[in-house]
Amino acid sequence: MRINNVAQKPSYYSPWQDYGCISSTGSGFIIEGQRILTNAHLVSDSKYLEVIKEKSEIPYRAVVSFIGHDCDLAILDVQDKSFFKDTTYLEFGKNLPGLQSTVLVYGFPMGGQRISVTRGVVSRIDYAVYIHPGNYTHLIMQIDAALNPGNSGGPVIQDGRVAGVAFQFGENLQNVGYAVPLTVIGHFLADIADGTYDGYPDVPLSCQNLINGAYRRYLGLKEGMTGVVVSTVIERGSAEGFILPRDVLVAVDGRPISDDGSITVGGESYSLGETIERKQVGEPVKFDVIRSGRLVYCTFPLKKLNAPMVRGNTYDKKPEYFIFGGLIFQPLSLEYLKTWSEDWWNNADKRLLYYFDCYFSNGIYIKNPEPIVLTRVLPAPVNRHYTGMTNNVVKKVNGREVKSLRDVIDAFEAARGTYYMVEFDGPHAPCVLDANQVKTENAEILRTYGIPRDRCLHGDSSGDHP
Amino acid sequence: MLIPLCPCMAREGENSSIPVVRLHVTYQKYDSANPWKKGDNDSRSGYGCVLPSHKVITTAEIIKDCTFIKIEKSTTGECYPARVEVVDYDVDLALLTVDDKSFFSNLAPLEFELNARIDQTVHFMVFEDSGEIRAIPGTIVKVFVDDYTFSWTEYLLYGATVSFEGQSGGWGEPVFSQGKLIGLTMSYSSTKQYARLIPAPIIVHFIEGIRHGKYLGFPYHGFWVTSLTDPVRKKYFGLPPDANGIYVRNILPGGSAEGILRIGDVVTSVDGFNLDWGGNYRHPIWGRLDYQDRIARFHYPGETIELGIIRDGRPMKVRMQLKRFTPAQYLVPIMTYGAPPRYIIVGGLVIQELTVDYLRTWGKNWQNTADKEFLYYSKYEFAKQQTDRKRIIILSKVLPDDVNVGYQGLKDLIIVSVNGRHISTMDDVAEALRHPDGEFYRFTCVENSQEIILDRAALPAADKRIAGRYGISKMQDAK
Repeated sequence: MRINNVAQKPSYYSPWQDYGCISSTGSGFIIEGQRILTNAHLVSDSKYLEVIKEKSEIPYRAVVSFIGHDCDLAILDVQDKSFFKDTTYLEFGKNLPGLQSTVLVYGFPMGGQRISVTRGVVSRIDYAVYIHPGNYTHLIMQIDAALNPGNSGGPVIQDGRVAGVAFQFGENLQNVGYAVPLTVIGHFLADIADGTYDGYPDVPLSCQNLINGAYRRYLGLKEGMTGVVVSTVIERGSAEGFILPRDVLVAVDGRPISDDGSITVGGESYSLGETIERKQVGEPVKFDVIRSGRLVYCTFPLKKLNAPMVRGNTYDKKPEYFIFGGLIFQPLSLEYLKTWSEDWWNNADKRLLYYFDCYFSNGIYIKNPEPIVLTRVLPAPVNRHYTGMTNNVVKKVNGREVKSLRDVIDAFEAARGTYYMVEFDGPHAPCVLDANQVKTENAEILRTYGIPRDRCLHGDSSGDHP
Repeated sequence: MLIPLCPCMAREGENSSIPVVRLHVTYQKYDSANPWKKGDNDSRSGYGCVLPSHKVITTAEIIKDCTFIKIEKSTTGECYPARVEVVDYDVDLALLTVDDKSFFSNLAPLEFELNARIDQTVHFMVFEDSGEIRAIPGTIVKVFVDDYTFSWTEYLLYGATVSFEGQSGGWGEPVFSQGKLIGLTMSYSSTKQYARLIPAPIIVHFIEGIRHGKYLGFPYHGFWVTSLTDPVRKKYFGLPPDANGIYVRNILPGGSAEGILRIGDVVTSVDGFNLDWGGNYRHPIWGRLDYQDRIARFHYPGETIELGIIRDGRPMKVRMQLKRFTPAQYLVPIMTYGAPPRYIIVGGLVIQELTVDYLRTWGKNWQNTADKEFLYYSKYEFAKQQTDRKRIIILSKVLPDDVNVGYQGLKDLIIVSVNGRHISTMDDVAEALRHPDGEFYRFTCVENSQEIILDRAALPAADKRIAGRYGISKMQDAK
């Protein structure tokens, strides 16, 4: 069926408001249980969603019942059950299509009333980044077929059964489209079976290959033993307390790991990250580990890390912020960096880029887990000297160290004195505001700039998925 | 058209001439991305003046990375080889010496004009193709304080409007006023017809700082400031409403102010001069000039000056002994200072210092496109050395060989220890390499605590292969 969405994304530049509405259209299909399967990117930030059956013009209101931003899938529900009259549901296939096998892609590429069917050939199945979240990698099926954005959410069918959901399109390549394959759909549906979408567990380790013989000998590996060596165990991650740095992982769930980190099963080769990616949050993983020359077994459940800094594209959430005296404080996030426009990777502030890029690798996750940025100053008499201080990272408010947006709010609200002082990371002079002046001007600043609320703080600080 | 500049010169004799010379410099840049190689040869020309002491003064930019210098006189057209004796890249000046003493004959003695005036007409000396000196008129329009070509520290500058009429400029063209040297041209914009001059007072301070073969240099105060113009911060930091001062926001490690000033101090006077709201002192001729000029130009390292400050709301005076901020004190050196990049290649691992020159290898837009981790250090911590971190030592890349399989994709990582020893300088790396970790060489990086382990026994043969395969004549240059 066709899916029409009116979406409204929040602005991270003016975090109290949204951008204008954007309409988009795509496809979806019915699966067992009167559910509609489609892509998350089609229905994100939705303000109004409707579905229209093939050969019909009657729109039905739909709502998102489950959405997986980390795998670009969503389940919709239609309140008016008459929608499902005279419909059947598609069943899923058992196995991934073989390479070079033919598939049919159904959808509404140019809108229209009638469904279009495109024939294509599966040319590749490999792990790649899912553009919708930006920071997750899963299996992707590549199909040589003329697909376009209207095909998003449409089923990829082989032998009458669903093999995937079309969702991404090659920019530079003509006649190439991508689909979310069965395995990822299966992971998603299994996850939501308990009523909540938990998402993908995070990889709790950083490893290095052991291709170099010297490294293997240094670690005391005997001839014939292969594996990868752990260089970092992420603090508060699933592996903490179970795995140690310098551990050599020689097998995962009983399957041997080669020196390049690959695991071969039935002629197919996977990476260690991919093995973890197939599991559900809470599912255990077992490693055979060589530690100081001895073999030990480590089993632990995989978790989501929920690091405070959100490094993926964010949807269906309002940006967190706090405005005080016209100073806008926001947590550093990918969405904030994107306000520097498309080429933000090269143009954004270098300190912020460093905190973002090296968040895990350089331990910023430990030292400064949620850098709070003074992003803008809404000019007013009380702050007129500080308009140039933007994009500095807040270190202290009134002498109190701040490690989160909550800390910033608490520090301002707890202050009793004639001044508020904000100190920053780096060799910058502090901002000093007159307390009485702020009290007088605070409400007026919000009114002048049309800001309904001076703050927005989520309950928890996870942002990767709902 | 030759303009007789100074009647006094004509009196010296028929054959005497203006002591302006042209330099032809062959230079060879270093290739920071491949530090064992040098770039191509190239040449540039510029100008200098001959000093009564039988030396030649010119700009550092002209002689940077030089392999050969020859100096041309306007009277004879003959070229004499010259050598750099002293160079200070911060003030963009160099002193050269010429061994052939006949070079110095028939040159009028150079005098300095230490006081420029706004709207004063001056003459820029250039060589015609014929070798004759031409004087191009210009006007001094500005006297101010700003950073020079190679420095982030700030010094006195003259701004002048001049038209070089299609010729390129900004290569040390000496500028005269009434027959005296008023400055050397540091840069010139043909679109704006505007030149920046290194003023004579700076040149004289440079020359007089060379004593008994030692160069004293220009002192640096070693702290960074913000103007306090807003009444709230003035009150908070204890400045009376009608007083002025500058807020100390950073103290450079190893600098003049370390141990003397504190972050939060407000400096109200420097060397006996009160500062205005912009941090300027009042110069008798040039009016408001940035306080940094008062420190840099009127003193030498080792001398002590007095600062008036307000600390914790109380006015007090402190005495600060001035030091030079030397290249050795940078965590991330901002230029090569004429020396080749330090490097060690071991087992194909190219280990070198992080410098701004290395970041420039990312191309024109390097300030945006270079490695984000490195950009952070070069922008925000370049002057922030610590006792256990003097330079940032990096693995820039791995030259593939059997000995380093498995590591060949690694590049641009910060090395924090070698063979278990914490490293802070290239010397530390060389020293650590003399103490292998058993049969191995072990390198630990900051990023994810990655390690690189090499087989010690395999290294001599590997290094030989690598040197041969990649044409490396010297596997290390890290004295």
